[in-house]
Amino acid sequence: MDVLIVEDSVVVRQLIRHILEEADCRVIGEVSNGEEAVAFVARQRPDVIAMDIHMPGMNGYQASRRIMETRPVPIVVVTSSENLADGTTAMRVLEAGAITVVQKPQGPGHPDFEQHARELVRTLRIASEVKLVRRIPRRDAVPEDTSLNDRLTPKVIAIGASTGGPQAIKALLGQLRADLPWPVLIVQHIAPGFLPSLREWLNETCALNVRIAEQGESPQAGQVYLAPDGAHMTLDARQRIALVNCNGDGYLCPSVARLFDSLARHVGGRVVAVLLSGMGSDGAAEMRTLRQLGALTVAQDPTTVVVNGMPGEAVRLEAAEQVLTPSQIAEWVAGLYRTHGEKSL
Amino acid sequence: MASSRRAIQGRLIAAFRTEAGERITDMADCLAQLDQSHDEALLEQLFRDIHSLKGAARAVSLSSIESLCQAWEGLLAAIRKGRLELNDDHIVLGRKAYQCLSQMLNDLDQPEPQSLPALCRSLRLAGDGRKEAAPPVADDAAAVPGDRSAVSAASHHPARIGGDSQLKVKADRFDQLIYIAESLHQSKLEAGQYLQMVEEAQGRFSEWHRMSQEIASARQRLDRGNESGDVQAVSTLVACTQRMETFLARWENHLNKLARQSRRMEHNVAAISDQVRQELQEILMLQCSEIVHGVPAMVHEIANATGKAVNLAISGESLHVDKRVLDSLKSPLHHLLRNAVDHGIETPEARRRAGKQDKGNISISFVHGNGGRFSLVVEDDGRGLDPGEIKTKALALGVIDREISEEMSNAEVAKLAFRSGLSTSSIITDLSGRGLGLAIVRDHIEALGGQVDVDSQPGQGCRFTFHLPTTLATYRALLVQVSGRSLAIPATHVERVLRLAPEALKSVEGRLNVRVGDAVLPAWRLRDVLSLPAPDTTRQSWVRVAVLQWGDVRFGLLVDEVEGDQEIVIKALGPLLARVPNVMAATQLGDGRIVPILHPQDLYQTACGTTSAPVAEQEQAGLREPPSILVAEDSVTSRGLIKTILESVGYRVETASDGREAWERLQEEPYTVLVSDIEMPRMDGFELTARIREHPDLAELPVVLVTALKSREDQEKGRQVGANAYIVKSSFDQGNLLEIVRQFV
Repeated sequence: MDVLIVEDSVVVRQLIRHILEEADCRVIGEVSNGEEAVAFVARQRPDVIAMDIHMPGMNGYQASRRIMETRPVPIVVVTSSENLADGTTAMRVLEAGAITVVQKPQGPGHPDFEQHARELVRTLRIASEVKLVRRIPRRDAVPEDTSLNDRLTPKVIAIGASTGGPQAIKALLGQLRADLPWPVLIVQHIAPGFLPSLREWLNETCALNVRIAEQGESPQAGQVYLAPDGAHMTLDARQRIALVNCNGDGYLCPSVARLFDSLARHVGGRVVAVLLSGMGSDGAAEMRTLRQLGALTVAQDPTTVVVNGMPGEAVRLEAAEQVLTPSQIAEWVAGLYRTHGEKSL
Repeated sequence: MASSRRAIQGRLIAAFRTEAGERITDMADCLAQLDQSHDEALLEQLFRDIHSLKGAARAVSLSSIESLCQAWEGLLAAIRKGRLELNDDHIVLGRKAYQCLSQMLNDLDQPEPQSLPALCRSLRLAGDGRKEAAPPVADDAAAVPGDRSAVSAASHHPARIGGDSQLKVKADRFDQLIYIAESLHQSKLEAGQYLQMVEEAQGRFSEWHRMSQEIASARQRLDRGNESGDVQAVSTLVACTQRMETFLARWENHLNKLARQSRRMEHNVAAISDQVRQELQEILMLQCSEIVHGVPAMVHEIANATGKAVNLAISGESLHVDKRVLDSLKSPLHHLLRNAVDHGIETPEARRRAGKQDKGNISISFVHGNGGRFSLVVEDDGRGLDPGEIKTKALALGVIDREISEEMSNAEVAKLAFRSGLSTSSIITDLSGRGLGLAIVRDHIEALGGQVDVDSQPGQGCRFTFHLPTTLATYRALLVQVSGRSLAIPATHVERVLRLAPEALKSVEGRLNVRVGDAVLPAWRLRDVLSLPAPDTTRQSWVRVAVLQWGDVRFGLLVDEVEGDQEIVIKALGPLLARVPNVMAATQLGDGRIVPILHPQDLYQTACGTTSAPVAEQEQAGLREPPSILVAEDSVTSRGLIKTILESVGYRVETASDGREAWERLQEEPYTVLVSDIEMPRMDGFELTARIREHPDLAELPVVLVTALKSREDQEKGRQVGANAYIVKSSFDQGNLLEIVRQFV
């Protein structure tokens, strides 16, 4: 894997290079600002770019946009999450076409070094394998009319997403009105620490209020609940949010599967389940169960995903009733609530 | 694994020291400037520096630095986002954070300062738009604003944190260097090939060794005088001669080839060497902004400590100048700024009384000049230099006398501040505060081939101007000879070189003057200025004068020979010879000679103080009539050529078109040397020479025969008739002819 490091601190560049080289990756370039990154990509093609955000001159956001417009290369935003503003900027870089975001690694003296280093390498590897499609902007066709007469009114919308998810979630939520009659539960796999940034970023553009789910609260209509770091988000029998510790139960954490599974148990078929862009297959099998129970299930259209793992698996398992782009999903949901508006949870 | 981790940790820490050093200097500048104007770009830069330092600290697990940066960054982010408006509290907090940071960076192994948690909390609270109810951060010693010693301890040498100095170079510069390195590699391969050829050729000498043995034994046999042996020996010798001829012919061929190829290689290597030098020189061209790093902070700090208020303006810092020039410019610049703040700018009260604004102004400008030169101007609107004070001191020291002092303009008085006698005296020490005196500043600038200028209006301000070359790498110098020694004079100070008739040199009241155009300039013999011994005989028909000039000063230096001007590479004399009178540096010429480079300003001063003023008689004695030479030659071309060559070095030359004409002229007029062809109509060179030797008055006249004939007999005949020298035209070249003629004049 050939990596380009874009980072203005020499120290951090050396650290990242060291981590990558220890993992047998090839660092084919180190540049210290956005202009140099754009120029580098015009000459040489890395498999993936590790991109910092704050740099003198052209910053990471501008550089990512330029690169994605001219010679698309998978970009991973490498930044620290302590600062909410940074994280939000990182989210914006995702919107500009970066694949995902990862925590800037701690130094070798830090107890978390090993873990951060592994995570960095893993994320870059995943990103390097993503096949980038040059997006052709197109008008979203109105989804075909779905007759809901024979269906139960949904009580909750549940969304699962991973790599490429933030961009899709934003597109989807951005088109929903504040008077949405259902709560939205979202499990988004994201590097630890970035969740507050994600929430902040979504709140900047969504009419709905986005929050991080808390133990025991009852989901309210028009509110969006993000599964917190380090816990599974489920609904209990009384349809309250139950956060379950992740303790090596074999699931990703938080996992879409656990959310969908709890919905199947306690809400049954009165669910709109959505699987968006992401690696792997988290939640696909459980979505099939939901569909069998009568839930409305949607997978993201493969032409708009960053990684077609989870939605692709849902299609393969015939778990998805519909295959739609994020804004089509939003329109479809809006259509649902025009007919079923009052009958929510 | 553990050892590799320690290794990377060590490397990262080293890199961190460098990076942190740069960033902390930058931060100090930003803070100082933010104090003057709440500029968004400055805020942005400060934010980025803190942010990057945070990232770097994280990468080396320096969590206390990371968390301080984190808290500070949060405050700045709120301001950037427009959630807060930048106010003075923020700057005060920022300065505390900066001081705390530089303290931590100075010694990375020390435990974190006790004030750190409180400082972080204050920064966070400020970031949230709140102020602490209790007085903010219990100031620890290093954070008392205005406390001079504490400020210095924490921040006076922020740049020192950054270990070894580094140079940032654009990557594509290296592509060119790599390309050059490849052609150098090619030349290396060629050199190897030539070596092989030469070694092969060397090997062929075994043939010669065999031959020389045969010859030796044949000679022995001949010596023994055995008749039968003689015949054999002679035939061996004959055979050897033949073999030797082929051997030598082969050798000539071989040498020709080698010479041709060596010439080509020399050409290539020379081109590569020039390219490398040029590339490196361009790499070494840095923006002047490099030396103003840390300057705003320094000015701010001194102003604070001395109770002054100062606005600093910097302009033209994007100008590119040789790194070596910039490096040597740093301490003079700092010195001037220190002077300007400490002594130039008045206190706000004093300024108000003088009808000026409370805040003093200091400006630093880099001005592009002509011919690879630039100026650094440091100007302040403070009280200016006090001419009275300087004058008094200069009088006391005997640098000037009272009469002169009465007539001196303020500008002239101001220039006295650079005199070394004065710089160590109390008034100038007062004027300069601490560190280097102005005389040392001047030395620094002059060592770079520059000049200093000062312009001061009492009560209005003071302006120092350094005129400097933008590059140091090569330097043109005039090479001259004095008393058999070669010396270099910086070409930037040589206005022109003259070859004058002795009459042009006048002696007025025991001092020499030389007329150049309309001006009459003072002149000295360089030999006297440097106290070099006089050569045994001065056979000079012309006076060679180098006219030196800088600023308003122009003067002539008499030298024995002018070797020409050429590019030289300056080599510093080293710390042991930090300041040698009259010598600035040294250079090594292509032939390996080490030649001192003279210091023009010093020379002038030494010359002015040379009590033994050169007297005219002595001078005139050395400057007798130029030698006259008669050239006898029937070919118009050859005649013209020889005449030109001889005249070019100052001989008076007359010509004759054959031997008889020459003979007639010789009897009419005395000549110093005769240069004659051999084959001429009417009377040939042999006959002419023979007649001269028989003539009572002309018998001693040196005769140089020049001929196309290359026969031993002719040469022998020439000697017999009494010629002093014999030059074959095929081996004829300028140097050869001049060298021979010079022996006889």
